[in-house]
Amino acid sequence: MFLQKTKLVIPPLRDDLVSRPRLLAKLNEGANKKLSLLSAPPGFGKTTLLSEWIHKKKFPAAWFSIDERDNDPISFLTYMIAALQTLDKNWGQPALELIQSPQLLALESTIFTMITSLTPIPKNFALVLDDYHLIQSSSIHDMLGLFLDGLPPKMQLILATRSDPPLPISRIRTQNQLTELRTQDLSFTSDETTRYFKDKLQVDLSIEDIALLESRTEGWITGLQLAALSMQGRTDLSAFVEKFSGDNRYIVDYLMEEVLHRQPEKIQDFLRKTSILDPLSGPLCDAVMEQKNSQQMLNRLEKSNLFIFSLDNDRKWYRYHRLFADSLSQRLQHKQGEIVPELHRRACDWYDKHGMKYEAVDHAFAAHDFDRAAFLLEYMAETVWDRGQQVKLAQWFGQMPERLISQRPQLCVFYARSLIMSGRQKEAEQCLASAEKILESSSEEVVEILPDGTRFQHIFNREELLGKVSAVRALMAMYQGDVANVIEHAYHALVLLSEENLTWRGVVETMLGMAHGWAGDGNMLKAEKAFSSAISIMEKAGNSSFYLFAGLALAGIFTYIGRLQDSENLCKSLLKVAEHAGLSQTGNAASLHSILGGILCERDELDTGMSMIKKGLELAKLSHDLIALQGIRLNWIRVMVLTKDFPRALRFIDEIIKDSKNIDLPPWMSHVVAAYQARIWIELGHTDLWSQWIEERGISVEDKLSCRIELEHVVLARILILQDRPEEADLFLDRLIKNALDSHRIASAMEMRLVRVKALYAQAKIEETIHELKQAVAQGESSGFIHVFTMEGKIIARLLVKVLEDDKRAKTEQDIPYSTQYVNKILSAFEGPKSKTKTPGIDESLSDRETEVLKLIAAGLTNQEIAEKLFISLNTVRTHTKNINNKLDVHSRTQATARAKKLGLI
Amino acid sequence: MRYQIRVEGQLNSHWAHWFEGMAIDSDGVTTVLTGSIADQSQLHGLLHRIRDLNLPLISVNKLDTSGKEKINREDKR
Repeated sequence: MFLQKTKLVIPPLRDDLVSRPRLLAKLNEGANKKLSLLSAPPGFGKTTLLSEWIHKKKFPAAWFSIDERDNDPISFLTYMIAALQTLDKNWGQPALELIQSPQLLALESTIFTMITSLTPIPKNFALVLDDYHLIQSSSIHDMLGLFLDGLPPKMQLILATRSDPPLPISRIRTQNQLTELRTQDLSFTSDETTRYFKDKLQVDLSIEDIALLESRTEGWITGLQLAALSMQGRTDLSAFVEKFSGDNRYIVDYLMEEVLHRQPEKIQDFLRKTSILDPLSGPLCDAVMEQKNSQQMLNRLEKSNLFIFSLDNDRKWYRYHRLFADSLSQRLQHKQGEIVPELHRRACDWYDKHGMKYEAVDHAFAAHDFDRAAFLLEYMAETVWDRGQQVKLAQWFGQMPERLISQRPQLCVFYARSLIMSGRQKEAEQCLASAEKILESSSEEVVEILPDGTRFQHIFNREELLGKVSAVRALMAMYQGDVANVIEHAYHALVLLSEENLTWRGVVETMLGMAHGWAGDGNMLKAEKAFSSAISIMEKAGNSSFYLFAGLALAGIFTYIGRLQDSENLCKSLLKVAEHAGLSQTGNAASLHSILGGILCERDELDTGMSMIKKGLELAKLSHDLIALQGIRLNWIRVMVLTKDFPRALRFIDEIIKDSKNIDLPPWMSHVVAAYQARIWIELGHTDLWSQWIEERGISVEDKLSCRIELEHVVLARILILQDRPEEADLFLDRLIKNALDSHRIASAMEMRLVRVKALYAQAKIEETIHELKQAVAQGESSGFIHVFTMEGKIIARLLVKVLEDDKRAKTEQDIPYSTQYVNKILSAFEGPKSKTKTPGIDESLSDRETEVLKLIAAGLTNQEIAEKLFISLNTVRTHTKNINNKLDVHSRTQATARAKKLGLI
Repeated sequence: MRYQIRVEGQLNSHWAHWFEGMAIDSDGVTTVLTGSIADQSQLHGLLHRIRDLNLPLISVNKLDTSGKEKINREDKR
């Protein structure tokens, strides 16, 4: 992303600086606190003071001068990181990549990555955000609030603003982590005023005169500066001061009149007309003024201190003091309002000629020359979008008449993207339709006659643009959850987009992968193909963060298609990539840990596997990636079911349901949660809940089969078996298995086969039972599954023993598609889980208080009596009993007492 | 909506354009800006400009259609 380096430059020490040691001391005190806030209207020397402090104290500080464009969260973050990079250029690359990755990432994740990488810095440093009042975006305020919460220990944030920012200021004040410099603090004292006039300006004023000036201006530094300017060349200063202090007019009005009237008309004209420029340079002013000596004029203005600052060391670029520029431009408007658009047009021309297209577009809009703006924007839209300036682009589009946009296909594409992001799908579709019409009817070369009469030849690649139109349609379908249309448009886009167009192709392949994956139509092979393409594209493009996202998706697909070893290898190599790219603390890395852990658990390496998933949970919480967190929780729930820790599994389900109230769970996830819930109820024997569940989920064996409700269908089959209807279950499972295998959902098919084994066994069809089991074993070995067998219960173990006996007795050495070793491995896994977890029946041990309560329960006391005896509230007793029941896995006092006695607790 | 904003000090009528065409009236001690405002966003934009000129804000009042001042509490900023 292109950066204006001037925004990161620490303003140099001013020559006319009035040193303010009392304020420097305050800033020194604040250096060890989180936040220093300088809040006052313009003209109280906030920037000057900070510059003095940084230079004199030689404090390591990063500077970010904010302007209105930075209201885009992505732009803001990019500049924040770039500013911090001026302190250490080796820092921040991972965070930058995160921001720029096309993944719809929560910006919070970037903040956390930044905090994590800043925390180890051992010496004090500060980040100054100058002109923070220009930020209106609540997303940015939220992000900064988060940043302040987790602020690295050696870091200090300094905000200079005209209004108090909507950040948790009072909380920071209460924590004694705030230093405040407000209007009263920043106003010049009489000492400072005296030093300004006597020492800096060598203006000889009496004490009374200085007092009058101070009182009239109330210590407003700009007012004092204007007053000083007005006094230049006058002989009777006392008279001036007296007249000034007796006048009621707004200081700026009064003094500007005084100052300007004493300038030659040529200078006044120059000042007024160039006030529309920000920043200004000699050549730019020449173009706007249609003269040749602007550089000299600018130098002269700077020398006379006429409110102009140079922005760099070569004196190329300048800026007027804001108030001065405002005052001048309102005079311009009043005096010669009709030429203002023309001045903007000249500025636009100059910027265009010098290749600064962004600024050219800005001035075109200011000139209300929308034709010109549209013309310029057409070729810039993609760059602006890639720079993360989507908000600015949306604003520009908002100012333009629709007809100008609909004539230009490239603009339509980006306008449509903008509209989709604000939920205006119908308008987006209209836009795309008009783009298509133009592209299909015209040739690839269009000649446009510009307003100034010149001919411009547009050359665009029709196929490429039509490809982008399809890609945007796929994007829209994704927002609407319309899987079929995502697939249709995505394939169409891939046909049309060129191979070199990495960004667009990468986004499309990823959308395709998601549409074919578990979130879409469940066609796993197609998903695999799409994600594989996405990964190699992202590798070529060198975008690590997006590479990780696509890679992680592929690893997930591998587990679904029963290629566990491939998934494990991919996860391990992706984790290395994450480490190198500094992305180990992200939600994506968390998910990788989880997938890896899940595979290890499946393979009966429970200790390692469970600690990997736990690590994933921690990382997901740390990086605030809530969607990743839910996915990892689902993985953990499966392991809890595997180890028969059902109460804990149910608690995790509760956590997911709780979180789903605040964030939108992807639809596929809520189906999986429902399936696990019912599965656990089956294991716990809650038969009363089954029929209600079936009704609530609205499923039956007559259903059309789909990947989305697959797991719930398997639960239905289980229930049918337990309800003594194994024939129905058998027929249903037959359909389910075929459907899963068609789309290569091997993992699902494994589970279904094993449930079918139980259905066949219930029908006493022994031969078919063994046959089906053997098929499952064969598939299981080639894929690497183990615990999918143990999760189906002891009956499977008994049948496997039978299988081994059968095989031994077989007369001919037929091709047995699995090894005896493998079957034995499964059988030993049946013993495994129990010995690896803690004391069976106890999740966590009872606390002292809980043991006390339990003893009283066993002694037959009521809750009220217990409360009175222990001097605690009734509610507290109830909480304790609830915890005791959970921990002992019981549902009544009698059961609790019996259990406790059995376990020797009382 | 019509609003009336009162600030301390005597403001030049030049500033009318700066304040989106509001009428500027001064009694020598304070100045009143009166005019039509499209929506709240525009109102807050105006208040920001007043802040940027370092003009102390005295009051902001919504006028009913007859031009009389509605009794309103002072705008808290």
